[in-house]
Amino acid sequence: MTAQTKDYHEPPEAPTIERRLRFYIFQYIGIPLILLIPTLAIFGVFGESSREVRQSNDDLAVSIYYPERYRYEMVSMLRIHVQNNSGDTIPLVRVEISKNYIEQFMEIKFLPSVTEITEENYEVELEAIAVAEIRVVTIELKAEEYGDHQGTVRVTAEGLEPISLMIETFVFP
Amino acid sequence: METVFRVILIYLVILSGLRIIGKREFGQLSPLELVSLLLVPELVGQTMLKDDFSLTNAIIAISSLFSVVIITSVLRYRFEKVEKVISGEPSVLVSHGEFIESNLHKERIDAAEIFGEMHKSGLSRLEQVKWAILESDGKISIVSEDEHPIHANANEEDSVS
Repeated sequence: MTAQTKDYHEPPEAPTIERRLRFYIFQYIGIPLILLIPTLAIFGVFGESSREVRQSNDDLAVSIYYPERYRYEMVSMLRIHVQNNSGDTIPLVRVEISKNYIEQFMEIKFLPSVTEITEENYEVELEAIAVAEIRVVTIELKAEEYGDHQGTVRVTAEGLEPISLMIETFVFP
Repeated sequence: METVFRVILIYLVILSGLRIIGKREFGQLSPLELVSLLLVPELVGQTMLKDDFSLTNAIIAISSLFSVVIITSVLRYRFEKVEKVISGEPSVLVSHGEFIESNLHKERIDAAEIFGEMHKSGLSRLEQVKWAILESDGKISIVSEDEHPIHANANEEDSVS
């Protein structure tokens, strides 16, 4: 029992039986499930992740950094980089983001500010983009509705070929 | 990911702490039960109060706790040495009518407490006690010299003879 050298009588020890692991059927199913959740969490499955999508043509190059996965009430940034690839200054570029995507979030902050909200899009105008200049539209999004949210970012300029990119964000409850 | 490690760390700290303070201190519950019962509301509370309010985080935290409980329990059962480390071993406090003082000191139990438990078992003299054992769960078992095992709390209605 406790003491190393014992100068007193001890009660008899319990008989030894071989210890084998056995589980009930529901435990065979439930235990792996319980163990799976933290294991997946360690590998970042339920964590925050961002993604970048790019598209370019002779006139414009657009890169979008957006939250691919994050959790309820977390804040994340959607950044749209617009570069002038043409040989001239572009007087006006319009960045349109799907309204049904944006409105899945709360406390939305646009920088620069939204120019117009139409039935389908939030629109931001970027004026006079010089040759090779990069302008950034930043949108702060706080996750509200959980689930999968999809939207489109469309960058247009008069007389230039538009660029359209899909974005998709999953919000964990 | 951070949540998983936080849960494991807190679990180990509390389990070690409870193991160090001694068996008698946690009375009615085994260390594993007590750690789980202490941590579940704490985790839920933390989830509500801290930055991450998500249900996902709460589920990760709870499943992490249950995972370490399952793993500890399996290891404890499978390996005797682990069981001794986690649950401890019973301590003999009285052997054939004599106090084992070294064990009484280690467990911080005085003679009056042993006598209190003896009285609950219907015994009044130390010579009547074959063994008084502080079990791993913190309860004192009394075995009388007449070979009838009596649990300290089993027959409180019996009067002291």
